[in-house]
Amino acid sequence: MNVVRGLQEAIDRLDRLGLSDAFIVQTDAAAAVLKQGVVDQLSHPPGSEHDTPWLESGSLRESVEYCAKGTEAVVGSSSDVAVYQELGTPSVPPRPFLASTAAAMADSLVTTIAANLARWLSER
Amino acid sequence: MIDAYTIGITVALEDGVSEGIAEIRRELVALDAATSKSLAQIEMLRQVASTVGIAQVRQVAQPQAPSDSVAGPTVSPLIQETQAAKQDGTPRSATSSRSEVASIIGSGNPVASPGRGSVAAAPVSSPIWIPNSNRTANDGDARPVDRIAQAAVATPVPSTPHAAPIRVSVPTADRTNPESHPSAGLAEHVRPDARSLAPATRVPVPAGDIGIDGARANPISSSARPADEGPRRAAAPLLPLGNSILSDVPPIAIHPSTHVRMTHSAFSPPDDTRGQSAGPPAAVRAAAPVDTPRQAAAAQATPSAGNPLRQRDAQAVSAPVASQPLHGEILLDGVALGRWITRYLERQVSRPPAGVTGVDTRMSPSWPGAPADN
Repeated sequence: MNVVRGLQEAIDRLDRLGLSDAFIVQTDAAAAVLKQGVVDQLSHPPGSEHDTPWLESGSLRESVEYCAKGTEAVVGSSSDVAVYQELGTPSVPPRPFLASTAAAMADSLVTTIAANLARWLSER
Repeated sequence: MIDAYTIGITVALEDGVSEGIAEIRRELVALDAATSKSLAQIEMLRQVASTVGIAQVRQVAQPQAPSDSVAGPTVSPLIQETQAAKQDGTPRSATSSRSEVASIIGSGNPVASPGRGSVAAAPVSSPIWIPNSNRTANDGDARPVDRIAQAAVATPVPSTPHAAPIRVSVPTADRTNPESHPSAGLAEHVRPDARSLAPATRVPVPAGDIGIDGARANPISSSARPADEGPRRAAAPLLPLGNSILSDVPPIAIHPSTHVRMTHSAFSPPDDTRGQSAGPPAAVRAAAPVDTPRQAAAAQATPSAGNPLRQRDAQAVSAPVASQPLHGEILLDGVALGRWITRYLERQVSRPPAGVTGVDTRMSPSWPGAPADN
């Protein structure tokens, strides 16, 4: 009889979970991690592999930002150089640093978010 | 938000966790409701059970009539032991159950034998044990000794004094040999009232109306069975004892349904039509089924070796299709026809040429103007 006595308490605790807040937090954290990955991609010095832009003045790397709202976040840049480097021009080959970083970090991001959510739920 | 940057990548989380948690919450709510309802019903059932138990004990514990021949406590040893077990918190042992049953069996006289243990001095007034009301013919007569387990399903009902417990058993041993039954020697210990109950449940079943599978046989075949099958019926095995009837019913013989009427077609195709002018071939004739039991009896009565005239008569009886019309068949031998065509063409080709060279393809047997002879 004591086993079933805690059902209502479990229901109440489920109501108090507040999953939306957890998702916002996790989205923001994931965007921050992704932004750091993009910055790392833009930190290759000249003379190294030129698949990504070289770090010369640092302006492109400084222009990278992220914005999170709810369960969505964007990591990007408003610099025109970022567009040229990412997509290429008639005279400059494309050296993507956003898409390649996202593809490389997708799995680790998902794993990190799931682990953080599970930890957050277990603490409730 | 996408327009906040000239170029960027988007991270979006699909909230499948909230949906799952909502589903869990709904199930928990349903479980909580069901549990609450079950708890209420269990509580009510517990109250009812406690009330009924107290009332039953009080009813059983009522003083018996003073006409009992033996004075003593009015509660049955079973109930006494049960109450003692309740007080002690220990279950009732199988040994005590056996001793209880032994004392019941041996209580043909009011004074129990002294070797029955603690229940030897049990009072005469004990609750009657009514056996299962769905007692069928398989239960057999009252042989109460070796069926202690059967008594477990009996329902104790407090009844009038001088009522004796009755144990009903299911016979399993060979009924044809009463000496082989383990309880055969104990039949004399059965109380008279127990014996009187047994015939009331006997179901007389007409002999010869039960087939091999226990179902009623075809009344036509059973009624039309000739009288000369008496020895076969007597020699047939009895039914299995699990389905046997009581001992006052005559033994029931098994009659395999050998009289199934096989439909015999008069136009069954022979296996080889060449050389057979009328009637089916020998193989078919030999395998012709027996139509009537009388023919079967005649066929069985006819010795296989011996008088050839009787064999021929029996064969004629068993093959009634000889006088019936048969359909004939025309066998067209393709090999012979091909050889005939070849010879015909050879003869035509070997004729002297008449203005043509080579083989005239029109010279075939099917050509309308072709000569029929050489």
